[in-house]
Amino acid sequence: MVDIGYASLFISFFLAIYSIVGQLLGQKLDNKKLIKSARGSVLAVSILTTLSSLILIYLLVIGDFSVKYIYDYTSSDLPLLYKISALWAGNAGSLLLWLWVLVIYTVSITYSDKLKELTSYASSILMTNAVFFLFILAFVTNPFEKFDYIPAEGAGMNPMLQNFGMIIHPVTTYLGYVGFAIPFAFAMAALIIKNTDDLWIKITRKWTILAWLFLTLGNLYGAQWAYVELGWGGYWAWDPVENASFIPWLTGSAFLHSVMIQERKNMLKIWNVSLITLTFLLTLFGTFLVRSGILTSVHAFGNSDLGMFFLVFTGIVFVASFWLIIDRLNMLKETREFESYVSKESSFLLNNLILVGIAFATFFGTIYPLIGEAVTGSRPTVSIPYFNAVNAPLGLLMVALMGICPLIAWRKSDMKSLRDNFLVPVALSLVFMVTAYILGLRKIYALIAFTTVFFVTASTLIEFIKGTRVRMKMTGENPVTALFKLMFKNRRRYGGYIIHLGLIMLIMGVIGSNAYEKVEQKTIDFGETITIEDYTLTYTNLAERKEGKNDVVYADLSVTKGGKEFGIVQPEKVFYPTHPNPSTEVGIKGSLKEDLYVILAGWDKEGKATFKVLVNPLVAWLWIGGYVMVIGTIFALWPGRGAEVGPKYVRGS
Amino acid sequence: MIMKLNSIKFPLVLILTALFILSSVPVLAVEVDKNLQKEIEDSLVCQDGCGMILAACENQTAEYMRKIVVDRLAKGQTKDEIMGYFVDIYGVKVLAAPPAEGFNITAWVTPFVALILGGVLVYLVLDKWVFQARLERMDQEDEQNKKEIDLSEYEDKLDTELKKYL
Repeated sequence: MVDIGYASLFISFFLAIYSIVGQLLGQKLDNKKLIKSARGSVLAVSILTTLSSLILIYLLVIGDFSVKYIYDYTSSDLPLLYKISALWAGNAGSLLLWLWVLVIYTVSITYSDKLKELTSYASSILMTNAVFFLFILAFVTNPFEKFDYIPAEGAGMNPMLQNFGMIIHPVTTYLGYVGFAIPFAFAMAALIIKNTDDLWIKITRKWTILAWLFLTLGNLYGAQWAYVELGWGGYWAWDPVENASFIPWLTGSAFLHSVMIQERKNMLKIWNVSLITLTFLLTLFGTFLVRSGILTSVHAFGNSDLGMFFLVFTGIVFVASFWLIIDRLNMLKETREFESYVSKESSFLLNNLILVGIAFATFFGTIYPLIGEAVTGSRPTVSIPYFNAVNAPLGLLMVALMGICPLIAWRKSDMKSLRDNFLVPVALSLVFMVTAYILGLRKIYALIAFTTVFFVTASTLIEFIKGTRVRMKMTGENPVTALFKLMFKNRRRYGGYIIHLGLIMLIMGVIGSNAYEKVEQKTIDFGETITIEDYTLTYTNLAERKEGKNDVVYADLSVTKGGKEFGIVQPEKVFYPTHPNPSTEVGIKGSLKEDLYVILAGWDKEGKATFKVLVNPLVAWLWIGGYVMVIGTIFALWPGRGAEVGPKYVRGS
Repeated sequence: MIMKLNSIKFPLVLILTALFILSSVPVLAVEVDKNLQKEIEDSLVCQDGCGMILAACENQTAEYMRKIVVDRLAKGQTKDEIMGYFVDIYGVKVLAAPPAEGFNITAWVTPFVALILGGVLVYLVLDKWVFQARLERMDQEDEQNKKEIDLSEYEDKLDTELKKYL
């Protein structure tokens, strides 16, 4: 079984090479048989990789500790779900998952056959990517490497990975990472065959949005995992690994906006090709960061030679893709005219500037320890305070643009339309600002941030109201029908607005939890209390229970809020026989307003225990906002009427 | 109340407890400014290689560092003095953000310089495109005018010819 798993990878490596050569040569010689045969090998690679992945999953489930990977990441007492999720707990397994997703994506585009010539080149580019992963898996880090002996028990999974978030987070992140390879491959294919219109954008639009959706979910689940599992009260630490998936999310978001200009005005061709190339390169570079151990990270895969392979591959892709872009510059001629400085088009340019600006700031901050060390000799740390200070003002600008953009028309906006469109949301925002100040929102940056968030919400909702009114006037429909039909007949546009509203909810959670977090740490005896904000926590019990082979020590604290019963909160420490350090399971009592977050930090023989208690305002909105973004994306993406692009705004059209 | 802490956990618990009790002594003796304590802990990084900021970390090194922060705050030291103390021991890597001095200024300035340069570039491109559009419009207007002139010439000729034959 183990040998079949490895042999599948080994054979796939050569089949993948054949699929590239066969498709390219077949295309050049117009040899349909050769193309068909090469495409068959793409299918064969996907079947063999699936077989290889399923074998590894089977070995994980049965606990075959003669395989090093199974020994390193599982133990016989591990619950079934975590045994399966061990597939992506380590380097080799997670790269196999990556490859698996990549070849399934590749086979689906290879056989979708919308445009034969473009598809052959795109498929070849994706298979080149697969060849790299197959090389790594077959010759550098073999997931099927065997011991000469059979250990009685496995080393066990890192306790921090034994969480539902860790089952979802890596899979969604990989689906996102790999998904961006598709538009990149089609962009390069379009350049190779010198087809420089927006066809590649149209073909890959759904892939791009899906990749973006999965990367959004990946980041969100990662944050949720950090919040409940790392036990420090936060959800985003600007760790290099977190940044590695945040940066391509930013450039991917910029790309999603800038392609609209190409679709509508036949502009920004060079920029769009460069941006998707950059996004793909950043997914590779992020993997280099995670796998190399070059930077200190809370949750990297640790030091390994793998990073160097990723760096070299990233370098090759960088040189090859930008050489191609530069070589085809003269073919990327485009309409070069904006009718006005103030238009939706120009606001999209600003949107791209700021998104890419935040991506650059995050990238620069992430690699700055290496730059600082190279120049000064000592490696500085770049952590939360730096990223918050640099990215907060840029992020606020970005949020403001989200409110401004819907209020500006395509082509040009005159003073009258600007005044008419901005008057209500700006006036409402000012009223909100004054009211919030009177009600006690006195931190100036929080006040500005919340007001900006309110402005975006108002301007977005006004778009819904305006559209509904116009429809009611034209069709005589009632408000509900008019709103419903308005949204469903313009799903792309209103799906986008729903995504914006979700993002606003998420940002509201970020502002609230950063600006108004409260912390209290105290060592108390039975019957004693900790008071924080409106909450009073009374320590009532410290006990131990068995969960499989693990020992769980937990404390009970009865909680009152404003003098009223609020239930019991139960923070835990879990001790694993296979790991030296216990993991923290926090006790959370959440509401839409705030989370009461309790950590059992330590205890003594007499039962005195130390608790760290946090009140994190508005955190629930982070997760709610994330799900609203998912709903908006699915709404916009759903096939059928309403999902198509809006009218073109080019001269003569 | 079940209190069966087994032998594996006991040494760890004892160490943790000792550190917590030690760390809580000065708090009992002199009440320190909690906000300032949090501010300092947010600005320092735990030095056992975990990469977490001090406020977030719960390991033994973090507890030891936290105890020093609380002790020194209780003695009346300022934030700068306490941060300076840690920098003397561990170097600048103990700070959660590079200090804005010497070469490290580039860490703070570069993102904004890049954004400003990007902004200038966007403005120049936008200006060119808007200017281009104006030129295009002017050309079209000229074309239109020419057509009108040409047409009037033909109209005059037509009138003359018509007068000849009518």
